[in-house]
Amino acid sequence: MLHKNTVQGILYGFVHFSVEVASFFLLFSRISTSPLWWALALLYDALAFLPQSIFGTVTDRYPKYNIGLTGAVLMILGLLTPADIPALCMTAIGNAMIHVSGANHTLRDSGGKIAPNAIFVGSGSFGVITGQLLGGVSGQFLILIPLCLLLLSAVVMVSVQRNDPAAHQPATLDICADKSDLAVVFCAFFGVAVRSYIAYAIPTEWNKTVIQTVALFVCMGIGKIMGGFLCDRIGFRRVTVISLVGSLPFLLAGNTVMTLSLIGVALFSMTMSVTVAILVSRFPHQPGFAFGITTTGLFFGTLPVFFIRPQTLLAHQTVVLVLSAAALPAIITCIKKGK
Amino acid sequence: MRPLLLDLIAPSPSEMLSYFIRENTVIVIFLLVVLLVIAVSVVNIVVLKHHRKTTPTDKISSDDKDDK
Repeated sequence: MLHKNTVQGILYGFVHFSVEVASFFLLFSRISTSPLWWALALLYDALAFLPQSIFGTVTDRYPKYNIGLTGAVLMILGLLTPADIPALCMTAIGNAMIHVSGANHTLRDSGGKIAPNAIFVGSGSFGVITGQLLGGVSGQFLILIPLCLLLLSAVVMVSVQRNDPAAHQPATLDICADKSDLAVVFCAFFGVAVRSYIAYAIPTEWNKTVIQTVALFVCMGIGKIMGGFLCDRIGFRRVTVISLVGSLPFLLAGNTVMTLSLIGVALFSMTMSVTVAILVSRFPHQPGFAFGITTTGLFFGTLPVFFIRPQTLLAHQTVVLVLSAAALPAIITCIKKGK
Repeated sequence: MRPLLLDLIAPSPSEMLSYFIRENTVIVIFLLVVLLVIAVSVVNIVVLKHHRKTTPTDKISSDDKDDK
């Protein structure tokens, strides 16, 4: 029998999956052929990641407001809007709102565990690749799939909000070291930005077919989910070391060997749970805001990818090595001893 | 009522704005992103400062105590 917190994580995992399917369906069926693709992708990232700390602050203040439902309505309207840029803006903002809703429910009701949130976040990777594949297929009625998924997600979010007595309680995670708010926010932010950048910067010459891309995203998702369960079981410090030190040889040597690279990606993705848990431990009454800081970090991590890319394999490997080496102490110092 | 010829020569402000956006979409998107970054940074700083003020004294970190 699954624990109630895990069920909550799975329900919101489905919601996250649906949201990403809808977003990436829109991007790859309508936007990716535009000559302004890179600028529109940047706009999408900005609108989907940046406002989450603002929406999070709103839900922290008004926990009865079902922001996820507003987000689902906005996304459905976005998918049905014929003009591309307004459709993209509505979908991205709706996406951000649903993320905040999921974070709120999976962090407040977690019973001191990070695994429910990890299931919620990790499931998004499966949605990203499904949406990309769906967007690349031509078919008039394919839009019904993301629309149905969003409608189902709206139903899930309404029922969770209605049957959730703990939705207004503070989060009960407690792993943050005794440091100033600014130091904790900076270190966790840096850790997230590094993970986000490396996810794009890792050398993957092997990635040439659709199946290989699917494998990459599946391993990212599995890594994030696995990280949450491992943090609860063996501790956050150990998971950070396993993730950042253990993944390095696989990432550096996996340029042409898919299996090695996938192991590295899965291991590296495990840090996601650690950074979320650090920030939520510091802001237990503001889990929406705390989660929003991590997504702001994600945006800043992807930002360099739009403008500069390492040209050689050695440059790629050096960037991965230096950033991982810097992220390890930044994250470890924010975790309480014994956690 | 404005003369028809002037309407043709001088477009209305909304027409000028839509023309500018159409011709400079990338710049407009970039400006929007920059504005969003600034807005989010301001909100984050305000929330962090508010959190500092409302945190009970027993929760203030030892670093802060050392500073004092």
